[in-house]
Amino acid sequence: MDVEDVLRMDRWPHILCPGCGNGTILNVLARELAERFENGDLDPDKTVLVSGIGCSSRLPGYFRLDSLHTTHGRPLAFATGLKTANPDLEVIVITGDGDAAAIGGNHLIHAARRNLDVTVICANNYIYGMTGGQVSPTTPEGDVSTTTPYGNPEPPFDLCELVMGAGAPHVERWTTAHPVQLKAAIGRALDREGFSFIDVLSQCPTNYGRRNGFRDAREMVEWLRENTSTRDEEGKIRIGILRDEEREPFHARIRKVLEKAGGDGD
Amino acid sequence: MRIKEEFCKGCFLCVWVCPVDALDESDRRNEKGYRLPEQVGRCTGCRQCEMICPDVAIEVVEADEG
Amino acid sequence: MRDENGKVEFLQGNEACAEGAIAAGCRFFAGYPITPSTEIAERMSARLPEVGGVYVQMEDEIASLAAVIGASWAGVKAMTATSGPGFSLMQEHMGYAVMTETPCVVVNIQRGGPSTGQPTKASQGDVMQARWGSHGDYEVVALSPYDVQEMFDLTVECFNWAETLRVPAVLLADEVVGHMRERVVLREDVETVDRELPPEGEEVERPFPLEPDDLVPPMPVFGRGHRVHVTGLTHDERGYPCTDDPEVHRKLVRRLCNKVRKRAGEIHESVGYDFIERDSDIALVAYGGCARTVLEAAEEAGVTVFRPKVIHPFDEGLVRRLLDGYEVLVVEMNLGQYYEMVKMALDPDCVHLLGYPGGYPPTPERVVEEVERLGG
Repeated sequence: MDVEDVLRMDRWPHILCPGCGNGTILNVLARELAERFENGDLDPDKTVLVSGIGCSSRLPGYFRLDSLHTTHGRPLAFATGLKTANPDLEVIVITGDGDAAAIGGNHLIHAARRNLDVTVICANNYIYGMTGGQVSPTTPEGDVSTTTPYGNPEPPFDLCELVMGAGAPHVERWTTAHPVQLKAAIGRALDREGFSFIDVLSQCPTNYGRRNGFRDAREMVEWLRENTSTRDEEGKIRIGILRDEEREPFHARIRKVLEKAGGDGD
Repeated sequence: MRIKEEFCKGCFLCVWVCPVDALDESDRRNEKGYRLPEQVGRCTGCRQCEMICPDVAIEVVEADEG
Repeated sequence: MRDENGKVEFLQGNEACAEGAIAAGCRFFAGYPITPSTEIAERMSARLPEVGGVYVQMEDEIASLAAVIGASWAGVKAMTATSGPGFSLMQEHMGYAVMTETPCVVVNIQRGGPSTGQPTKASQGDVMQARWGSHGDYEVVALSPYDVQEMFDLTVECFNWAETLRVPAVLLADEVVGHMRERVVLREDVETVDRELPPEGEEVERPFPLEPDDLVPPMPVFGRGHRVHVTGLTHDERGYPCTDDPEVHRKLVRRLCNKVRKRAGEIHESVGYDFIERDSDIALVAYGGCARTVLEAAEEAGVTVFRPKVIHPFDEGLVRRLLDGYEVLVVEMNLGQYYEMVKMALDPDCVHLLGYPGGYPPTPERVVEEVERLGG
């Protein structure tokens, strides 16, 4: 199966800006899915994409799969209904830093706590891109946005620490400068049962880069490559597999409740 | 390597990611006015350009295919 | 105990609502505790696992309705229950359910508002919110039960109309009927309606047709090969976002409203209403918990009374047919919400209000006094 069989090519070219990191995420996700559909690891009819609002949340609409483009911040709440009502579905949630960590922060920690069996891909580009470049919960301190013209006075969230604190068993961080590793990470997340979270540091050249000293997307991915490390290094952002454990997923616990109540049909 | 020119937005992440400098910016533009990349050297088939392309506009193919 | 229709029990309205949901085929409930609706969640948490259903207590009411909509796209009949503050939080997702044409049931056991108000006291202050609470033009179905049996029966009706029209249906109950205990028949003969589905395993090319003759298209189910994209954005027939063509938006919004509006009469006839005609110049109008005292007062004063069960969509024609020529007194536990709709259907000078903004309904004596004041 070719990548173009997984995508709704009748919608190309997509709406994302030139050099948008969300496009790279779309690309590697489509390739990982195409491979899995091809070799039978995954059934395209059972694979579902869910997203909230924002640039990254537009991605599901480009996949030739069942997809639910929901409201701002709430994709994990919708995914909770989909996955628990039909545990046979493979649910992939695509979200962004504003969607997941600001308006949807509560759903993020509770989905992690419940260990909802979903793969969460968070396109973390430090900015509200769709609305024109406002500060987000992951914007670094001091950075300029349209609503922090004097520099961001707030400290940012570390999303991986946040979901690990809430109990997420599988957590990785990569960047759009690491497409090969990112594709492999998505594969691992699909293999794991339970809440898998991939924090993808990404570039928004239009609404973040140009206000913070980056001339184009290339300078931004260069920065991501130079300032991240798979080892703990002073002054660099840690990327790689941050946690990989096993925990009983939510739908299995619900199944046990049904068994206790006698409604499991056996 | 095949570049689907109608989808390219000229970001040149492919040029940036190529480990053997097989790609470069060209002066050619597509219908929308975006400048296109071009192959200038021997491709080793690592497929990183294919994967990083935000517009899914690059396909790495075997040499004998085209 | 049993009668010919099913098991007879002595239940609270909220418990009867949960039983009605199970009887209607509800197999998913997501909710958040809030007075005076919590007993519905409690009963569902006990009952659903017995019948193979899923109960999830979510982190808030926003998430609750989101999970319900998600479950509905998985092909499962789903419900949530709440009261004023939670209903306010759910409004964005009421609009999302309308836009995506997702059948679901939202129970609102109305309490005194605005804001936290009086959690343990009744009101009917959310009549307009049920219809206008989310942004944009839309229509929903809202039914108002007046006793424990109707908490069961109208919950079933909510599911049936939600499935028929692919809309959120609101059981617009109140604390009076939610918390009272009465004899109820847990009917085993309930007629249930299931949404129309597209053929399994086939991609659905036009999941959201804009043509007027397809007012309610069959609903794809996630996981069955329909490969459908669902979005709260204005979408074209294929379900693809279409944010720049006003004509597509107009057609879509018109269809979403018309599929409910055009069947207002049918909904009223099918769900039913009470109309007790007496030789009088005055007619009383009341619904829900408030109707209990008003029916008694009407008998005492010897006047006509109309008790709708369907609050939305409002059927102007029906109200005109039944009440034209009367001096009409609308009695409700708010400062005049259903009253405004009745005024639009009739000569507004002939429509009067006895409004109690929450707490409890007016006593029959108080209603009779008002009838007498009007010259009845």
